[in-house]
Amino acid sequence: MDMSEAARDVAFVRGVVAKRDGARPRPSVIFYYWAVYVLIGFPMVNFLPQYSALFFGIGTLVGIVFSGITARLHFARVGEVDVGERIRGGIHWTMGMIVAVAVPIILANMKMISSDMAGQFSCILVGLVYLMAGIHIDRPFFWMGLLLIAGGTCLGLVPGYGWTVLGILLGVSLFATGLLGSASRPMGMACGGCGVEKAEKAAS
Amino acid sequence: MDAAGGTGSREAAQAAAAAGLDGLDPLLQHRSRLGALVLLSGVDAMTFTRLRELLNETDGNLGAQLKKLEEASYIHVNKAFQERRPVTWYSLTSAGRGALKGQLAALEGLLRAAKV
Repeated sequence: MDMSEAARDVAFVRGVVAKRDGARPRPSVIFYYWAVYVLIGFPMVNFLPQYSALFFGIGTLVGIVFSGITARLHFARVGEVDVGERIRGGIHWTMGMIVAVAVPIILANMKMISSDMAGQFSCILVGLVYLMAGIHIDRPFFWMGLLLIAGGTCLGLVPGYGWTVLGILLGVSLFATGLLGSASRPMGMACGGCGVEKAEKAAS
Repeated sequence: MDAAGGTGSREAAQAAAAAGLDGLDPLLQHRSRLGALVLLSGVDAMTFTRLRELLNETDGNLGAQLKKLEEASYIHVNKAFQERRPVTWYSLTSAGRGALKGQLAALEGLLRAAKV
């Protein structure tokens, strides 16, 4: 093997890894579930507030179980198994969503915060969960996270239909992301830490 | 730089290049075999179909390359059924991981030496 062959091999491998990172099919049906959850649940806060806590509580638990099973089946069909990634993703979404939804509900039931504040607080916390997902899991979540944090903060400024407007924006974002099909590399991620990047840097 | 310094650095580069070439694993000098090990290093297991799609290889060629890796105990093969269809899963062994690490380090050394 000579130098040019070595450089070409490194470039080939780098291309293969970039292809894998840049074009992993997204489990779209998970995004559709959460789009429907948001499109029903958020307007419910404006029009049927007495049922919204129950909806979010049950919908979140069902969604977590559904998402976990669907993701596992999806990636088996794609042809990749990464148990570590599955566990990290599972802990992120499960713990994040449970804390983001349950804690404000509990605080409101204990009369420590009003139910309006609980809703805003929950929205901002879910936004943080999405933001972190955008950094570590799939890039579009980052922008949805910013939308939720900004929207949750400004909800009190939009009289009457703030939740409905935010729900429509988020629901459409989730639906569109599901339609796009391929997952984007998380922000700041290199080619997986496999060592190829060091060899390629030597070639450059 | 004088002639003596230029000659010295050229000899050092040649020595480093020779060391790099010695460190290369002949089995991993085929880019698809190297590519397969790199892909498997990032997951717990990957199917034949997924490897073929990412490496842009034909069934026959990829099958032959993976067979050589299996014979060298660099990868482990597991045949299973998924939705009633046979699926072959590949995973990296510890020997394969060590070989990959060595190969990438040797390539890095080789390419650094070429820049001197």
